[in-house]
Order: sequence, then structure tokens, then C-alpha cells
Amino acid sequence: MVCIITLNKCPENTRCIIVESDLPDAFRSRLMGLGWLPGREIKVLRKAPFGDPTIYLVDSTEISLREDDSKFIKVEPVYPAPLSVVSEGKYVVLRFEGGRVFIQKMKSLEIKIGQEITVLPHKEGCKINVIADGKNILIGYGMANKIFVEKK
Amino acid sequence: MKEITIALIGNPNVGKTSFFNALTGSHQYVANWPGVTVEKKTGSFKWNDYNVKVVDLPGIYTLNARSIDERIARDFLINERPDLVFNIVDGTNLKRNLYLTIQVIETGVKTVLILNQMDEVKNLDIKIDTRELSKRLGIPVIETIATKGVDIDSIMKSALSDSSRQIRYEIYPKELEDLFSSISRDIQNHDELKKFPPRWLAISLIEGDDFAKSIVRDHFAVPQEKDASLKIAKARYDFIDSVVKQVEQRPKEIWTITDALDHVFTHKILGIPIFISIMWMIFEFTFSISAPFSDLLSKGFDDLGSYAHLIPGWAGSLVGDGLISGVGSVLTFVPLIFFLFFSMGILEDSGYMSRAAFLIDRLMHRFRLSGRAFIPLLLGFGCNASAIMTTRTLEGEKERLISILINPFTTCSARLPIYAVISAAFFGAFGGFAIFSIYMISIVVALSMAIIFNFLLKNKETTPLIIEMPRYKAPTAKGLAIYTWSRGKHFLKKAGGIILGATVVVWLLSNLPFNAPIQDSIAAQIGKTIAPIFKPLGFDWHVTLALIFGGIAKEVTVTTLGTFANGNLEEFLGTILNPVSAYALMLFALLYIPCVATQATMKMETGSYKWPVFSVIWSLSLAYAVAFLFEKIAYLVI
Repeated sequence: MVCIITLNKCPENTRCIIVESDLPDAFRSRLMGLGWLPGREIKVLRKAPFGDPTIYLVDSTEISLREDDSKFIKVEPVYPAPLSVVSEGKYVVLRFEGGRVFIQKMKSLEIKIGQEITVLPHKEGCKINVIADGKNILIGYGMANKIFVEKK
Repeated sequence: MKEITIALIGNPNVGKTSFFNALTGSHQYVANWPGVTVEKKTGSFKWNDYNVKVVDLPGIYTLNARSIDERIARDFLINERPDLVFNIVDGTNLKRNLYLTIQVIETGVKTVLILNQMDEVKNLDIKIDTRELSKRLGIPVIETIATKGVDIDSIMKSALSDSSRQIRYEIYPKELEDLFSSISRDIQNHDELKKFPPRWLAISLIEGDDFAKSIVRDHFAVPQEKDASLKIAKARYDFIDSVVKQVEQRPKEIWTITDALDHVFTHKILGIPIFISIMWMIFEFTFSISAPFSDLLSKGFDDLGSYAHLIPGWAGSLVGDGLISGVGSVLTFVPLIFFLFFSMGILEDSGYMSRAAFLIDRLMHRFRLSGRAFIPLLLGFGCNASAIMTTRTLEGEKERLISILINPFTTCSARLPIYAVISAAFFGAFGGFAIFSIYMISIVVALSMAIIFNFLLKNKETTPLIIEMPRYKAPTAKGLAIYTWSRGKHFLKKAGGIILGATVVVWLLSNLPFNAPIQDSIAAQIGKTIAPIFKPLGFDWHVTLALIFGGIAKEVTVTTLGTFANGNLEEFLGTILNPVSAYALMLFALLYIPCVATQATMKMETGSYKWPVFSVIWSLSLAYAVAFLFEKIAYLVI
């Protein structure tokens, strides 16, 4: 199932396609000049120390946008997408975007690369309920940002 | 001799300034555009029997004319019709740069594409088929490395070689093209519209451009097309994609030095500490390294001034205390300004400035400022006049104005002697704490003023904050020299005159009538006349006069009080102030009028006398109110 979210909801390392933007005209046309058009791919590169603003990459140009502005841009994540942005369904874990501690944590939860998981319905920004190997696991939002999955 | 005008246009950070400098050599000057504060640089050079005038337009991404920069560039291309446009393009970022190129070509002026930063292109292992690019766009393409100089002869030859190729329009789908040509026909039926390039006008009308609409409003109605601007933009990008695919070969994404540096500099935990240490280094470097030079200069001018006293009578005093000390007070700024712009040059050229803005943006956003506004504020603690000049890196017009207006509230180093003298005289062991409290108040006032001015100026510009992250580059000695010199020279030229003038006026006031002691001079009369106004604050006429003179340069407040004190300043202060009024004086000295150099810089940067005058009135009232309230409350408590 395709899910459309706002750009500010995309965690680091996500790739997504611009769907549309409700930005004021002046701002939108400036972004257009930088290649930000519906149908183009954005990569979320880095968030600032306090979580805002965020650096995005479109065509080989890196620009930084505030959450106040990026929340007006609707995007569709491209797989492999972080677990936090996908809707319910069956997925395969492709990679982890985290440090050693995070990978240890994944080991202890018995989530492995290549594993098949089922995401159950959940509310936005809440813990994510998944079924892996028949077991029910609750994964925190922050952790879900670092687990990249592909549609099964 | 034939006169021709060349306009330089391009995205920000493509090496436009280097190209401009390479073309014009030292024959350049900086001028402000009328009415706005965006800089326009013009220069000239001679080539064969041509006298070439070069106009450097602001760095922009599109010609859509929604920001001031874009409007200036667009108006210049449409109204002034330069003979040639050099579109400077970053060779490493062809895709993004060509959007502007297409818009420039559409204005119908003769365009040459300058493919710059070819050294970087080689480093990144990108291959560009220049000939094919030129064929697809229908304009000449010239490769350059502007930082290493350019071959003017070959550029001018290929630019002027009249190979006016037929431009094939293959950008837009047929339905849009049909629309353009039908509107173009309408346009050509009206004589008044003949001076505008018809194709540009037609496309702008369909895009819904306000300026274009206002041109044709009285002549005909424009057919409305839904989502046309999006369709046009999309068509341009599709065209660019196909061109770039054909002419450019780039290696797969690789981990570049920039990625590695960014990993550290914008790190979630390390980023801010690194930022703080870099800022501290800049501050230390600028103000510590320049201090001995400034001291040396001011000592030199003091000595020169005392030699001038050998000339008998008032003439000696005018030359010594008026002119020489006036010139001296301008020149003591020189080391400071030059070191400051040297470090700013390093920050900007290396690409770190954008990262700093990115890191601190969240914090500054609370005070309705953007990340870049942090740097002038910090530098204000060294010297307001030079800090105000660094607000040029800010994008929004109003944000820039607000940054200029709040800057004098950051307590510059020249105010420190005032606090030091007063604290030593009244607060003894708590002196350090008194000074520290003043610094804290300074920060609080500056940031609250940012919020208040945002409200007063109805600044709604907070929306468009786009910071581009350029690649990291090692700054070149040549680039830094040009940057430092052009900004420093600008200060000397513009602010120097005002500072010098003010010093001479103060000399006249304090020395007329001739041979009278300072207690009987016009200045003292003025001090005594307006002293009643400051009576509620507990300041007598000595303090009043010292504050007036302190308007020239804040440290003069102390030296003026010194002239009344007969050697023992602390004892003298004890006779005219008490601890409460002394702290009120510290508060007053913190907040009241920006010094003459700062006022001169405000005038220079905002382009009008309105803002320095506003700043003087505003800060004077604020200082009065704060000092008055402080005393009232303090007396109640004690």
C-alpha cells in the first residue's frame, strides 16, 4: 500500500518522491528552481542537533529546510524505507542504519537482515507492533527510523 | 572604441565573483542598487577596440522575480538589454544550473554559457561534452577555471563571433508552444509591447508572472491555463534531464571529502561543540590579533597629535586633537575590520558558514532570526560597526534590518572600560559580577529586541529559509585578499568620512570659544543645558557630557570623565555618583546610542539615514527608561 506522508516525517537516509506541495507561491518557485518538482526524488541526509532543520539532497544539490516548511511538502517514500513510515503489511528487513549499540539491540530483539516481518496497524508516531517469526514485538519510533524494509 | 555591456548571471556559489574579478582585474567598484541594499558590482576592461562594462548581477536560482535579487536580475535583462550575458555555471552541478540558463536564453539576450569550476569537475571524475551541450542549448559554451584566471581573449572571441545560430525550441510540449506563439502574435500587434522580447513575455504570462501581467493588462486578456507554471517547470527539467544525460558522464555516488567533513561538522553531538570552538577562534583571532595593531596605530596618532601641539595656538590643537585624532580614530578600526573580514572570508569560502547556520538555526528561530544571524550578533561583542557589515550574508531584507538594529545592544569591547572603571570605583569585590550581569542583560535585550522589531516591522519573511550546502573548498589566498580588501576598503571610504567629520565637530564644540577651558566650552554649555533631563537618573553635567562624547566612541566616555578628575578618577566618580546611579550609568552606557562609527555603518548598510536616526532615538529612550526604572526599584528595595 502506498503511503503519502509529509517530508518532515521522513527519517534520515530515507529516499522519497515529491507528490505535491502546499507552500506559498514564492517559496515553491524557488524550490522549483532547485529541482524540487513533483516526481523528483529527495534523499533525507542529516538532521541538525536539535532535530531541525534537515539537509536534503535533490540532484547533487544539498539544501537545508526547516520543519515549518518541509511539513507542507507531501512525499511518497521509496523502498527500502524506514519501518516508521510504512503502513501495515508484509515487509523484508533490508538493512540497519545505526551504530553498534543499535545493532546489538536488534540482535536481542531477534530481528535480522533478510527477515520477513508483518507490520500491524498502528497510530502515527507511536510504537510499532510487528510480528516476526510468529512473535509479537513492539518497536519504538526512534528505532523504527533506523530499520529499512522492502515491500514483500 | 565600441562600448558594450556584459551582464554576469548565475546561481549562488558558482564562482561568479572570481570570474568577475578575473575579467575586470582591479578595475572594479562596489555600488548599491538604488533603493535596495543588494550589492551591484560593476567593472570594466578593454579588449581590442572594445570598452567592456561588466555588471555582476546577484546570485539567483530562477528568474521568476519573487525575491529582490531575482527582480534585480530580471529587470536588468529585460529593461537594460545588455549586449551579452555570461551565464556562469558550476560544471559539477550542471542539472541545477541549467534551469536558470533556459530562462536567461528565453529573455532573448545573447547568452554565453561559462562552464566554470572545471578543475573540480576533473577532480570528481565528471566528463562533459561541451560541444554537444553548446549544440543542444544553441549558445556558445566556454570552459573556465575562474579562480586560476581566465583567457579573456578567447572568451571574447567566441562570445562575439557572430555565429547567431538558429535556436531550436525543443523544450515545451506542443500545446504550450501553440499557446506561446498565439500570445506572441497578440503581443506583436501592440506597438507599446514591441520593446519586450515576445517569447519571454508569452512564457511569463502563462507562468502567471505579476510583472508580465502588469505589462499587458491594458492591451489584451491572457488565456488562463491550469497548472501551467508547473507544466512549464516540468518541461524545462525534462529537457535538462535529456541534455545532461547526453552530455555528462559522472561516476556513481562516491564518499567525497565533503561527506566526510560534514559527518564531523554537522554531527549531532560533536557539531555544536565544534561550532562553538570555531566561533571562539574567530572571535579571539579577530579581536586579539588586531588589538596590538590598533594600539600601535592609536599610540602613533597620539604621538603625532602631541607633535602637532608644537604648532602654537588653536591651530595646533585643531590639527592635533581634531584632525589627527579624527583620522586616528578611523584608522584604529582598520586592523580590526581587515582581520574580521579575513576570518569571515575563510568561513564563507570554505563553505563552513552554511553549516554553522544549519547547526544554530533552531536556536535562533526562537527569536525569529535565522542561523546566519548568529554570527553578526557574536561579533557585536567585539565591535558593532564591523559586525553590522557582516549582516550582508543574511538573505531576508527585513531579517537583515532587524539584525542591524539589534546589534548595538550587544555590548562591544569599547564599552568594557566604562564598566571596568565604574565597577572598580563602586562594587569592589562584586565588580566582576557587575560586569558579568551587564553582559547577560546585553544578550537578553538584544534577543528581546529581535522579537519586538520582528513584531514592529511586521516581518513575515520567516518562511523561505533555504540554506544551500556548498562543497567544502580550501580558501585561496587571492580570493581572501580580494574579499578582505573590497569590504575593508568599503568601510574606510564610506564610514571614514562620517567618523572624521564627527570628531572635528566635537573638537570644535569643546574648544569654542577659543582658549576657554573645557568647563566653559560650548560642549560644556550643551552638557549643562541638557543635564536636567538626566537629573532623574542621578547623572550630573559631567556624566552627561561624557556620555555625549561617548557617542563618538564609547571609550571616550571614560577619557572625558578623566579630564575632569585631576588624576583620581575613582575618587571623582565617588563624588558625583552613588552605587545605584553608578549601576544605572552602566546600564545606560550599555543601551544608549550606537557610536558614530556604528551609525555610519548603519547608514551605509541600509542605504538611508532613517535607520541610524531611528536606532539613536529608540536606544536612547530604551536606555533612559531602563536606567530610570532600575533606580526607582533599587531605591525602593534599599
